[in-house]
Amino acid sequence: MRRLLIYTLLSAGLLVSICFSLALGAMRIPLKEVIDTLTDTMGFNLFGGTDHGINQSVIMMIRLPRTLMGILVGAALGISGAAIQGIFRNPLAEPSLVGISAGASLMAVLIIAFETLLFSSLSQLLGYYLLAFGAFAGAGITAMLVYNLSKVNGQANVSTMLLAGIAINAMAGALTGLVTYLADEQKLRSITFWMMGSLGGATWQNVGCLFPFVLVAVIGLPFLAKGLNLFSIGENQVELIGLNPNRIKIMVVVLATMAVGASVSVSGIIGFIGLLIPHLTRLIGGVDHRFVLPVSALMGAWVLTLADLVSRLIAQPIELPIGVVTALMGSPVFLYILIKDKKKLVN
Amino acid sequence: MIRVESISYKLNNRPLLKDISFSIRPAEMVALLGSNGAGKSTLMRLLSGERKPDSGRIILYGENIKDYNRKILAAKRAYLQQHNPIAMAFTVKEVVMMGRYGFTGLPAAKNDQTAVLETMELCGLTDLADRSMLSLSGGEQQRVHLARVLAQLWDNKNALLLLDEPTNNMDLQFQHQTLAIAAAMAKQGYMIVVVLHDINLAAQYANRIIILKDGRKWWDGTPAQVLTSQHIYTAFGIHAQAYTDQSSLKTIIVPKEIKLDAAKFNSNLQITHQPVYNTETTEIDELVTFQSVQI
Repeated sequence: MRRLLIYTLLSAGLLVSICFSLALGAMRIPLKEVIDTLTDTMGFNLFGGTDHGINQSVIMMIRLPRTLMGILVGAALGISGAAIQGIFRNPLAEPSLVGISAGASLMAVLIIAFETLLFSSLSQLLGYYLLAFGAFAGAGITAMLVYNLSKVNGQANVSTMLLAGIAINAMAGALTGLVTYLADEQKLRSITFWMMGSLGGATWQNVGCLFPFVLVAVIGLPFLAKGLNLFSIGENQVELIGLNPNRIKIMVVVLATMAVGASVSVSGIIGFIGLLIPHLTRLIGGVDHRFVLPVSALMGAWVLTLADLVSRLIAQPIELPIGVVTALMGSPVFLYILIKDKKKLVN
Repeated sequence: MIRVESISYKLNNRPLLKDISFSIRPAEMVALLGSNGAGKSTLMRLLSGERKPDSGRIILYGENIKDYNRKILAAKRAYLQQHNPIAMAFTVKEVVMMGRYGFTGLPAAKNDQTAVLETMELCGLTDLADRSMLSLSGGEQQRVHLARVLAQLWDNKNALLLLDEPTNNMDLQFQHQTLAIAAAMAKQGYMIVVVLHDINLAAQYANRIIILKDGRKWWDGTPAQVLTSQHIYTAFGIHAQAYTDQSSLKTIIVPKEIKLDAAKFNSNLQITHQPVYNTETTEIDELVTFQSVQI
């Protein structure tokens, strides 16, 4: 009952913030006009008007793809944050902290920098998806690396996990820096964009590219929820209770890193969403992954849409990088978990 | 039944178990005893299938446990480990329900709720059902995990239940309650293997005792056969007297008190007279020291 209420409230919140996201910005468009434009474009003529002029272009070419991208990236980061925390058995395992996002962005940067040189044949084959696949590969490799590094006697060790994350972040940062020296002006700009995180580059094309990756993760991960629950009482218990631990682990890592990788390839590294969202979800409805995974996706979509709205409105007409907003929201939560679980994290 | 056929197990080239054989029939409750490092927990891990023996076989109802389908094995065998750390704030009921996860979609899944409610009631957890695991004491957490493994085998009465020090952290009442539950289930046909440190608990509740020493099986039999003064001294290095309780006819072990004098092992407490040297003969004239006294 309570969970039904949570789903309803979150969906309503998401819907409201979508409307605001479409209406507000450098140019204000009345809500009625927004709805009118959308319904018109879909083929229903509700209010009689047909010519919306510049409003239509702003909504259809700029704000709608951006809002959709916010929803997809938020859902991807929220659900994969929750899933990765489940596998690592730790609420601090977050894609950007343990280096998964850095691995994805490093691959993305390498592909941009050397695209014409090395990847031209691949690029022709995969087209626009090359970046997404590359980022996915980078995310997947780092996730497996960190997992295996942090495993001591079959259990993930927190300090090793975070230290591995620091090392990978540093290495990816250094390599990215190196590549930026080699890259030309135009490539430089897009590389910087990847490091900062932004929804500003949203087009219908990259929304379309992101969509299948996020869809697969959001549909697939909840099927692994029971296995993730069992991981919290120990990896060997999964086997003893009759589920296949390796299959669950591989599926979770593949699906979660696919979503993270694809998000990073279109919006860069947006930190702390994967930490903040699952934590809030667990606070309101408990830790069962059958609840945490879908709700994290929903809440991630909502919070990122809001964060994007804030980043656009707070210093108008300048746009803040969205990573600044999410870090401002997420880092206090990180500190809070550290303080609350200080004793438990030591062992 | 389960048949263990001369299994051996090495870890980092150190033999932990050497050539162990025994078999357990339904309705038997076997207590595994032995000093620290005797191989009890290792044997449990092999019986559970978590580790594979280097040689020998473990046959459960006619099939080698390494050849079992995961889900079928999960319905026939459950294992309560010594330590059960939990990472997230699951509620008691959610953890007990985890014991039933393997049966999703199978006919047994219909009984999930019954199994969970009955085992929680049995382990005294009904009032704690919605409490977070992280807010419970060690003994209470151990009871939750006991309820979880019981729930796993609730509708399979010839199953094998492996309990590795189930009474860890439990208060006196629940130590007995836990073993009473195990003994009652054994009466109905379950096979129970329980690792215990308390010899008297083992003597009271188990109908068979196996003593391990240095990775080998030394004795195997009824409590009265196995728990003699000599055996206990050999296995545990402690003098003890074995009695038979007149009313229950159970064996009772009373270990002899070890007497120590702190001055004999703490050098700070020792009264030592400095040796006095005879300057003429340069021989030790007088040497009074308590250090030479054997502990």
